[in-house]
Amino acid sequence: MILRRMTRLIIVLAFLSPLGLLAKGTAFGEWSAAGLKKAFGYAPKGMVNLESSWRWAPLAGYGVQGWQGELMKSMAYILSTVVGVVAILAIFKGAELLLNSFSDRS
Amino acid sequence: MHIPDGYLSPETIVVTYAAAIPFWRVAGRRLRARLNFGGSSLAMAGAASAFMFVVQMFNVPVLGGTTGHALGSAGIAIVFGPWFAVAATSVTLLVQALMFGDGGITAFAANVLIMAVIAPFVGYWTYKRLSGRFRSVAGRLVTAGLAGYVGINAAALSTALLLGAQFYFFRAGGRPLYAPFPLTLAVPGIMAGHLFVFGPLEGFVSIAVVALAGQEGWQEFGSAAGDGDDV
Repeated sequence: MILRRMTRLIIVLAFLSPLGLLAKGTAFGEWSAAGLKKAFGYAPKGMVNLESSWRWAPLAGYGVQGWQGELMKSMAYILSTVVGVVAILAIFKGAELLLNSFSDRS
Repeated sequence: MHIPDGYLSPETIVVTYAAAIPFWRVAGRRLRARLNFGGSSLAMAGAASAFMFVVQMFNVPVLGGTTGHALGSAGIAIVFGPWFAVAATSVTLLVQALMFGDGGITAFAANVLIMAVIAPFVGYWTYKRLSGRFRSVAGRLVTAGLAGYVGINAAALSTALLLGAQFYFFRAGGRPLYAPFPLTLAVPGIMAGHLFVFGPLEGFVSIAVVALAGQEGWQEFGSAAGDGDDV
């Protein structure tokens, strides 16, 4: 019952998600080293070293490379929402299958 | 509140991972134990995790040019138990970091401690402490809202303290190496938005989750309404 309600809610929210794009600006403390350099006049050295620790995000920043403009960015945002949801469900489904195969053996 | 890579020193990173691992172990074990009682706990955890992911897509601006969002983890903790929330929120944060670069990978454990441990547990405890006074549904919903508010602000304060600490402890050549703001900047910078905007938003989300779950949610999964999923 809750599962069904939650699923419906997720779908509705997914379509509404580009509303989250209306807010321009970044969260406090989520700026890049380059951004900080503009604000403080210097980029912290340690940050410069560590900030590219993960370079393989396929939909970095919830956008798609090359998808510019408000419309394309909104599409990319909805796509990101869908991909994220699918990825999360896949992880749990995978965990379920793994756990089932363990219990089958015993 | 998702701390990116580069804001935390390697020493801090190691400590956060060391602290997070026991929480993951207990959360994982409890989730498995729940499965043994039969049921779709994993499906529900997946839905909860996906739900929080979607909620966090809704950025809200505040005066001063920054943005933020609700988390959803306190509401999930109230309905399903805090350990369940640890597991579900951790997966949300993992996907956010790996697929979208939202939150760093070195900073992943810190983000987990803040959003997947502190927020849900503080929210859950707040709810448990207060809900005894309210028998009515409305009273419980208000309490859930309050719990969400307190939970996310506890998380925000933790973030501010963690980032602010980097400024003092990790320096070279007279300059901070990582997060470059002192506490006097970090605390108001982060708390202002959460006390006045994202906190109430989180309260609203908590109420929505609890209302959505309804009576049968608590009976099926058992939690704050009174069950074995206590800390």
